[in-house]
Amino acid sequence: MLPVVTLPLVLLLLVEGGVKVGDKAPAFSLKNVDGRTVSLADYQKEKGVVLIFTCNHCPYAKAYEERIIALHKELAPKGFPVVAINPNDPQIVPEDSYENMQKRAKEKKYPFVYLFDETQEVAKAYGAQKTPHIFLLKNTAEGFVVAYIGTLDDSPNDPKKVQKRYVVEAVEAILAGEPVPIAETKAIGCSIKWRR
Amino acid sequence: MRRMLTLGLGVGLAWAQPLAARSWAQIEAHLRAHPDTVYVLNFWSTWCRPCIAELPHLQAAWRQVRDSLPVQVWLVSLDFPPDGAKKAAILLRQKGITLPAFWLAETDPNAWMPKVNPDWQGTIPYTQAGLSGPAHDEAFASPEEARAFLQEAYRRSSR
Repeated sequence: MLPVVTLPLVLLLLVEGGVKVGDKAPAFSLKNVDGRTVSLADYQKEKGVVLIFTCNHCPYAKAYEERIIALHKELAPKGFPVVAINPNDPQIVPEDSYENMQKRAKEKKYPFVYLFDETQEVAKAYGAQKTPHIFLLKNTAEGFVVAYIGTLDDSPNDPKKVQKRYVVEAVEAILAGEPVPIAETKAIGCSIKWRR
Repeated sequence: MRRMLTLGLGVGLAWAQPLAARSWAQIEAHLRAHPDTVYVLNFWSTWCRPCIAELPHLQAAWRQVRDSLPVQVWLVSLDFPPDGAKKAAILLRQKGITLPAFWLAETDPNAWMPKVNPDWQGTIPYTQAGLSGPAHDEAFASPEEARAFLQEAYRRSSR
């Protein structure tokens, strides 16, 4: 019998970079599926922005697609529109090309903007790692600030089993002038396909 | 004739018994009950291309070490219900992967992922050795790389 030894805690080097909750939101200016350029600054009159790094091909993104559409319809009237950004390199996944984004947005009648982060600099600035990966931005006197990072809810596989709607709860807290109850969750998803 | 054979084989490969469902608590209980074996858990899914690419490397690596080290490699599928367990089984069969495989019966990633490893950022493939051993958050590019991980997992567990 081998001796049972308690393992020392594994110290993993966490990749730093990207934003943390409370940080100022990095600005961006990206091409929407309708050809327009959309910037974070365009949302200055809103109370915030639900920034979602997502894409066409990823099964988690697909599983969340209807819920993201519903989220925009629910939160845009409250001053928190969804801004979707596809950060994937279409050389690696052709399904995530700009043309395919346009097709998908049209087919599913996306009520929100769907921007292409061709240089992947916005994803890097935020520290997005996967799709979908959500950054809730709150508009303050000092500009947009990151208020929540993580996933949409607690049941990626089955919308019927959702019990915790993290993003909605965070928005409600902001609207009520209260601190966000859960400001960070783990998001499961497909790794962003970084340009090689 | 050859075409018929291929067709027959194709049909045969397109069927498989779905992977057995296991909750994280069940997997954890098994690991705790077998402290002398190093269980290397590979979290994957059929729609994750890098995951599929590394499966043969993991299998080859395990075959190289299985006679000398008490290491087991378990594949844990994160495929979606209702048919994920079946899709995963079919893919493993088609690829000739015979490592023990389960389908993870969990819903809330924020409940189970931190138990696997609090540092796991939520991307797959993800390979975790035991309940507190080393982890690897990228795909193994070769059997050698996978074997080095299995050896490291054993070394760290027997220290």
